[in-house]
Amino acid sequence: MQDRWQEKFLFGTISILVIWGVWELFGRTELMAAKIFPPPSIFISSISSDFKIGLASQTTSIHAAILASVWRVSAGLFLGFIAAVAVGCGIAVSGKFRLCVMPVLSLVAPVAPVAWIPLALVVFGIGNTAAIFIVFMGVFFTLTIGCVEAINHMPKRRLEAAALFGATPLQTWRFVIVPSILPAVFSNLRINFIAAWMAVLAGEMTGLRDGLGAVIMNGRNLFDNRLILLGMFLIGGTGFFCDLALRLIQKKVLWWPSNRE
Amino acid sequence: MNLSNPPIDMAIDVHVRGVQQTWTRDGVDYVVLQKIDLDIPGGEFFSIVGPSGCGKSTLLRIIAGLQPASSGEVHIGGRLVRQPRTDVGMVFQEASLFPWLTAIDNVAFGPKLAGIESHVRRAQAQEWLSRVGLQDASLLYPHQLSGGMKQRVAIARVLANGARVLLMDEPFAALDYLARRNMQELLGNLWREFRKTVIFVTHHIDEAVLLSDRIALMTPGPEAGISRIVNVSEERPRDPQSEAMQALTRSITLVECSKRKDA
Repeated sequence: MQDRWQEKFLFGTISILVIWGVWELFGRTELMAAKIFPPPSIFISSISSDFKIGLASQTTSIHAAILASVWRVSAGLFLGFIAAVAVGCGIAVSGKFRLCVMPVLSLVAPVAPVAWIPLALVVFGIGNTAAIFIVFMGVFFTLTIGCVEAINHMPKRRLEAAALFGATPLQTWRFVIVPSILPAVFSNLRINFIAAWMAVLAGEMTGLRDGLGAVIMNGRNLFDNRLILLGMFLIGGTGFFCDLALRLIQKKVLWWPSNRE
Repeated sequence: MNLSNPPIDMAIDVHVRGVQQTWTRDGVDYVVLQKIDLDIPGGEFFSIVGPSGCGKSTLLRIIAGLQPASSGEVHIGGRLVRQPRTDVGMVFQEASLFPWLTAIDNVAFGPKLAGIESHVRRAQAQEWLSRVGLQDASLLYPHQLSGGMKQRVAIARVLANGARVLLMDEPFAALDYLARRNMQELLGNLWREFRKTVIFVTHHIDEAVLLSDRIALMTPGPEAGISRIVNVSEERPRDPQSEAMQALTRSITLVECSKRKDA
């Protein structure tokens, strides 16, 4: 059952405000823990207009850190989506291709996205390419397998209709199969967004020197708990809005069902 | 705008010769359809009536070229059917529209594949949509249409593709009484206007009597066959409430259809 949005908004706001309030009260006490977990009023206010993170030549502003992370994850997801649809269709078209590719996919898929970080840094150096590669590796395999699944579960009637309208094999793929499966692959992508997001942040915390993950690491290196919590806060918020954007695409652009009429 | 409206002699005939369908399961052969012969002249409205599961749909799919028969062959317009063809259109029980396309783009789908220019095919599609009474629904998506409206789009889509034979597999079975009545009237009118060859599968005898020139009665499966072909010579337009129609409907009872051939 679909909750009404007013209700969702109301209860969501209440629960967040309650947690915030308790945290703020707790932060005013003289307990040691209050120093380790500074409440939002303290760490958020540390963002002033000329706020910079990092030391000397490596300083960046908050919005640059957000943009860096969002750009990496979007580019990686986009490339992963395109490649997965292409390879998934290839697997569905050609039995030989499937026989060649599936074992490789099955062997490489279990390698966790974070496990690619050291290799990516060695191969691509510290920079966006490495980060995008990590995201790509994090989503590509699942999406490809999901794409093959979606093709197999497509309503057969759609294929028959295409045949009755005289579609060539290429036209069938272009005008029927691909539009038919895109929503399924995209919904898979949304599910895997969290994994991709985590991979990018882990990359930023370990090797890359900018982005939201680096904000936290900077806080750690400077023994600045406000910066650590600010970083966590921004990661949560940015992730939330990215997911919202993906949900919006799912609802407004790729809204039709892949597996039924 | 004038739609290509082939005269009656452009309608093509359908010949089914000794079509037999068997399934093999666990090494045992099951005969689904037994030696079916049909000769349907161009422009005829021909119905196939029979109980559910008797293989009507299988027969229609074989005629459409969607599945090969175990033996026997089908000729449409003098050409052997080996695979689906654009001169043979099919309307399924579920409209099977493409959900990502608007009504007008669904109707223009066949012409699009044929490489017809965008503005030409859309103008034609709009015209076909008005023929089925959906001139105001052209920009709606299938999920915004009622069951009857979807079937109208499905019919317009097949006509826009230039089909000369219409195969209809229980197209109105999922509709409520009123919608079905409307669709029967629409189909009757379209048929009188365009004189396509129609093969119409249904399990409603009254529907078959109302629309058809001839009705083939099928026996229940397995080993289904055609028990009898009934001529309906009543003038059109026909009134389903008329005494003659009702008497004819009564004379074909499902009891007859459900009689086993070997019983």
